[in-house]
Amino acid sequence: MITTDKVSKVYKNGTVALDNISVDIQKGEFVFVVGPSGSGKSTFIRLLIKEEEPTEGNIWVAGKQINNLSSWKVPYLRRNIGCVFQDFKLLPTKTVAENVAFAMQVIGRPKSAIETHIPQILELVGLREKAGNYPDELSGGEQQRVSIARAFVNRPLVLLCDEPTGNLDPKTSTGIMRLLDRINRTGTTVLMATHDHSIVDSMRRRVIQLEGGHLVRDEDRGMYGVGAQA
Amino acid sequence: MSVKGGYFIGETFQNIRRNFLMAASAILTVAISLALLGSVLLIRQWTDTIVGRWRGNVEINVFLRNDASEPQIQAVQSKISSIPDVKEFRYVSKEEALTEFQEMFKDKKDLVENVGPGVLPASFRITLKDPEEADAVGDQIKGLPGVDEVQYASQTIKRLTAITNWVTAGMAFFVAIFAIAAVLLIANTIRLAVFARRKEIGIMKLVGATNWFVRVPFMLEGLLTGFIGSVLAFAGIYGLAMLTRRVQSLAPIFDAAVGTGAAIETGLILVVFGIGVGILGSGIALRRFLDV
Repeated sequence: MITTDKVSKVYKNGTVALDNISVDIQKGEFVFVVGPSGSGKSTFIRLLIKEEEPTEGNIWVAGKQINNLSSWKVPYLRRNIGCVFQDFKLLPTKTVAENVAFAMQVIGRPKSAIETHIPQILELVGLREKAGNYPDELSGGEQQRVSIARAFVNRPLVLLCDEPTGNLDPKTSTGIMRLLDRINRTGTTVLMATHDHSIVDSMRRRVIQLEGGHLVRDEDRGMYGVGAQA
Repeated sequence: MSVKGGYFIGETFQNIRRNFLMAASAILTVAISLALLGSVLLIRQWTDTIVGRWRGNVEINVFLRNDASEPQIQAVQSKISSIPDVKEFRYVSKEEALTEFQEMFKDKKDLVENVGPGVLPASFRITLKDPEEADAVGDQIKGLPGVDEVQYASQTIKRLTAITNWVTAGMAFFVAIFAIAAVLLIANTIRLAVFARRKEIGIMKLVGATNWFVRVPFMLEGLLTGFIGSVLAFAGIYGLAMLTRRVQSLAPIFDAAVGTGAAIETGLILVVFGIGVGILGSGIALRRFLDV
């Protein structure tokens, strides 16, 4: 589902964000990308949605080689990928339901499809009663659920999460992780960048560890750190 | 398409509402520049009509000096009759000139009383075979002894053409400046709209909206700005044309009202220009400020 082959990214100012990264992620996997701030986690995600171009190497997402994809095809690539961010990125002037519906509208889904899908997806994330509320009337955890609903409503093949629990307390984070796990069980590949030890350690999924742009560990059913660090 | 159509129209009007003052000033600038352009077009049309009409019946008036002797007059007459371009000519004596004058201004007693015999000069009136030859014929008569002045409408036509040429050139200059201002104002309006919605645009791109989907509401906004401005200009031009008709009915000497047909034709040209200006303005803004 996601394959990178000797991918490097050097920014214009000379910073080496990623160096020779090769990973292969299968359909339906749940993968953590861990490492301290500045280790290249975010750059890795930005490369997958083609917000950045790799300096070297090839990338395949959802069966397509994306590093030489022409720019007008990028929107169609992104329809296969859902994105969740630390800062939710919700539109404050739209209600919960409208925020989620927006993702369907902008790719031209018919009104009837929007009307049937929105209640279903809000049910899935547990926000059915909050459909008419505005984001600033919700807690952080609820806002993140809205953003997950928006990322998932078009049934992408891959869900990319960049520090989705970064702004949330541990209890709320657990709820979010349960939701992501549920989405993963529908066959959706989930890739989550995080530096939250307890989450990684309790889930025991595949862990890809980056340090200063290098791939230092790729381990099934891993912990956040190895040995003493855990 | 129905969802999209509604979406686009809703977004477009929301943009305009959010930035009403900017949008209004852009619309007014478009209206002013296009009204100027329309005036230029109408003035051209108007002078062409007048000039064309005058060309058709150019008459040369050869005014004689008051002290011109009989042989001098005879000489002038034989000279005129020898010019092949002359179709026909007529001698108007001082007495005839006075009678004509009294006839023409019979309503204005003071004027008639003040002009006694001997004030108006005698003259020859010449009709030409080809009005274009007025200059050549006039030159041949000008220097003859006993001739005071040679007058013909082509001088007036030349002067009028020269003046209107300058006026239209000057106005075209302002039209160009206003048109550039209109394009830039529209571009700036769109830029603000893009800036106000950058977060939304970011999310749209993230969830896979096509570039055209992102662009269309902004393009529509520019187009609508140009269109509304041009409709205002259309109304202004139409009003102006109707005004010339009113002037004509009051003072028939202004024998050149702008017809309704010409006004509407000019108005339609303005609308096309307005839409063009709108698309150009939003195009510039989207190219420079919307990275899609």
